[in-house]
Amino acid sequence: MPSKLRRIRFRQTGGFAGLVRGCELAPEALGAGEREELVRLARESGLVAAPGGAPAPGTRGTGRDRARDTMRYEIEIESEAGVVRVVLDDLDLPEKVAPLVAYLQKHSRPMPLE
Amino acid sequence: MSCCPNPIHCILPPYVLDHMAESSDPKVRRLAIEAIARSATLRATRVALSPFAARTAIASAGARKQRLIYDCKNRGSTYLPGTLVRSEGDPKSSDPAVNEAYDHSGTTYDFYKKLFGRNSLDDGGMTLVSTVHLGNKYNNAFWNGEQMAYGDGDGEIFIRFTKSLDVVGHELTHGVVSHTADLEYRDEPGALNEHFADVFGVLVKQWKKKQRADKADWLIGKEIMGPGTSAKALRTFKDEPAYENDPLLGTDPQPKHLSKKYKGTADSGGVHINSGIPNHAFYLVARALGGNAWVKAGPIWYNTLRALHQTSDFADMVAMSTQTAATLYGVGSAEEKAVAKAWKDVGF
Repeated sequence: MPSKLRRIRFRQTGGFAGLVRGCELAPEALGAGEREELVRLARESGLVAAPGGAPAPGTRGTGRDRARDTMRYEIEIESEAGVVRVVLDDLDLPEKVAPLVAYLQKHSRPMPLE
Repeated sequence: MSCCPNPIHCILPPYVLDHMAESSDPKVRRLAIEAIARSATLRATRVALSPFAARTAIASAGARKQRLIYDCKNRGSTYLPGTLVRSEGDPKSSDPAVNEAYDHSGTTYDFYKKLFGRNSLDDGGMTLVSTVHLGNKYNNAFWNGEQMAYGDGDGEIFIRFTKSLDVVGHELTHGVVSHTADLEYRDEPGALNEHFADVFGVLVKQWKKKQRADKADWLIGKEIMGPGTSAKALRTFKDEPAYENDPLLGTDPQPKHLSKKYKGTADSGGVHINSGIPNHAFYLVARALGGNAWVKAGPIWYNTLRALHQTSDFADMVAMSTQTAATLYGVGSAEEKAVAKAWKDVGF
């Protein structure tokens, strides 16, 4: 049984546009509908698992190191079980994580460069 | 004809290959795509089959372009390349994204062939493979090392990425870079990689539209901006931001002078950010030389690209482009002086 979700931090960089966008979401601060959707997507992504657990990346695209203009996704999920951090890109994004990324992208705003 | 031990390359009919190209097994898809590409070349040129990957080894005997357009049907990148929907010489599709990918990749091929004598990305007649409708409302386009892939945009920040000739030219130029200097995709070499992609993306557009340097807009991505943003484009070669305080994009972070170079780690060390510095230098060269930018500035930059190497940095770029201008037009020429002054104006 996945542990209770506390917070998700998301940052997207790279891509053709080179934009830096992200968000930090706490389920408790969301409306009921949004909270349920976020919790469901996080659960279905498999990222909220046992402590230290994280999904293996999906099948890597051929020649990932040769790719140009792919987007990079940094996801940090904090739950009662601990913190899971993954870094994925367009060529190794697992199908079950893609809906969560789409949700986080929808809630993202421009972020300052660090 | 040499015989390849792989049965997929030999006698399977096209409809079987098409079905295999949609297999859930990426290895099966890859083999099928290679066979389809080989078959397309054979029909056009009657060249004997090579045992190596068609996309990298087979030269079209008449130096003719070979294009394959695939539809990923809004599935993810694990389904690349998708379903073959238009091959070289096929009639127009009812899908504008398919036609744009086909037409713009053809224009880019023609640009490199007519201006620089380059036969496709690898100068060996490499088949140009494009996939449209990648992902769901995917706000991006990329080169994966072997092919282009284009999203449809979310309809707010961006619309479909095939709409822009400079975007397609940019992605294909990543292929040219990988077969020439092969600049590493990080820090200054990566910014140069992005710079050359922007330069030849914008030059393809100016060449197609027959625009003089003083009349061109020098924008990247103008045609793909969505209705939710006030940004005029994603990038500009001019010394001004492409967008400012936009709720969806923020403010254009590209510096146009070395003193403002980004030194952080985001975006692989700012490859899409610091490209603004050499981009502006190229603009200054093109404006100083006048006329059509692809006539003089284009060859200087193309030959510079061919002379650079994987770890070339900005200092190497400054030196090589100045030297190339001297080689092409003479030591002390107006062209050499224009290049030297442009680099000085952006801080070198």
